[in-house]
Amino acid sequence: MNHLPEAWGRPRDDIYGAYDHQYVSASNPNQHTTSPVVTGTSVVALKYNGGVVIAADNLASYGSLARFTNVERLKQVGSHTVVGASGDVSDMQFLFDEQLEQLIISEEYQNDGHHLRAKHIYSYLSRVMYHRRSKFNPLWNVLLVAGWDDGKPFLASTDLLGTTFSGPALASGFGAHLAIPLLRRVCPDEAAVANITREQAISVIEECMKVLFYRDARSMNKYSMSIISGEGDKVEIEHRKDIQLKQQSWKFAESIRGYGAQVV
Amino acid sequence: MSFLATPSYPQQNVPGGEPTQRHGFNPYADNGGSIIGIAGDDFLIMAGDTRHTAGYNINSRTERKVYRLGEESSLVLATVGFGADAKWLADTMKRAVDVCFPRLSMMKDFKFQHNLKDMTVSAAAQFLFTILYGNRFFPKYAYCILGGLDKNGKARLFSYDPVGSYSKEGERRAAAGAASSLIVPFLDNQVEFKNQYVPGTQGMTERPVEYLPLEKVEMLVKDAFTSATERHIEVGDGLQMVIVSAQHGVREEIIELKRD
Repeated sequence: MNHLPEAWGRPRDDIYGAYDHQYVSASNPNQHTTSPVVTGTSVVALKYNGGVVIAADNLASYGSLARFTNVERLKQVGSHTVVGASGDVSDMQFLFDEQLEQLIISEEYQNDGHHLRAKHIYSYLSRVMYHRRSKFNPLWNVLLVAGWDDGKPFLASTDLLGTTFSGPALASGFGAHLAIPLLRRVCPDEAAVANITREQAISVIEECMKVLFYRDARSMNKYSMSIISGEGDKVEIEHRKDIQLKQQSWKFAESIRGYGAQVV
Repeated sequence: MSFLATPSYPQQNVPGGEPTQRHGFNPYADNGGSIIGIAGDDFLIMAGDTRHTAGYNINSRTERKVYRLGEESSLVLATVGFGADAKWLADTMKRAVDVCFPRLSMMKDFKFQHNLKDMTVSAAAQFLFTILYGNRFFPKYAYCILGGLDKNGKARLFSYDPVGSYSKEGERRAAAGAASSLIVPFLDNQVEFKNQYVPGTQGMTERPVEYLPLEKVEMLVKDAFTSATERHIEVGDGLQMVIVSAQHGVREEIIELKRD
């Protein structure tokens, strides 16, 4: 074998002639998504004693430009599940409008009385994400899957690498820094879920969206929230759209340099 | 976690060609955590913490790293490193070892092909090597420890690097993951009796290695993890222990670790 690494595994020059470098050209590789373009920011979600609350704002940013202000980043999938996406909006639309839509159509078409539940949707999504990262062509998103599964609330996350984990309170993007501490204050572990009511969960999520709007420069004051509530096998999903942030107080801004209150 | 941390060289451009472009996508992440395996004579303990991290963030406090490969089987796999690859490895091993679809004969699982015999530990060990090395040119970035009882009821333990290197003889103890550098010397001393000498011999006679009882091993595992939790930010929250014993079967236990 030729000792030069760049010649390894290539046809021998003395038999096949000089290697045509156009076959595997290192100078202009295929372009996959190497960075997100139009992006959505945080998704936050919290379990409560009868379901899950999940929320995401309606902004799609183009860099620092607030490009689209009416984008829905939560999608109901089947009868038991809501998926929330942050990250690249076109990848989100591919997942939501092509993949998940087709998945539900082909599953419901069987008409056998079985329906995909949250953990099935989650399993599917995490495998798609891992598969795409393994092809070096990732879907640049973090997805939160919220739902009702087997008589219990379900909440789990998967990202562009196919990394998976679950927990009673999850948040993606900036929310992982700003919202998680607020959520864990009311819900430190799985056992705490039993003591959280629907109203409490909604108000904590509202608080998180407000704090995120205060501090996340890629967020906006209008958001959507889905409340998945279940009892036994029965699931009900309530979608609240175009929620305006309530009870904002910008008093804190006066004392912070850079928020505009000071002249110098 | 070092074999990808090789020095980076400046991009070489082909003269006259277009400037080369790098993929801006890193397919790996480090999700922290640590795992331990200790073998006794006829039992073994596999343990891992339940914290799942991304940088300074704690993703989850309840993600398990130790997997039983089949409900009937004594085989246990612990994996740590890049969480997605680790889970893939665990799933792949489970699918191979466990009989999944007895009625679908085209499913070529191990039991079907081998007259419904269970896979032995040494076979599972070689199989895991094959999987890891099969991904040699796009490695599954996870460190594995595989353990189980052989057909004589003796404990066997194997540990792997991400591309599959392992010792067929097996070993008595293994540790991997974020806090392995803290845990390994502790286990050297406490399991292999390194730097321990027989009293009264002026440090001339090494203390002979012997198998430890289960209670002692359980204490060592707990000590290793409480100490690692104190000193490593990626270790904590919970300690999952799977205890495989020839006499008492398999038992799983989760105890709390500090959550700070």
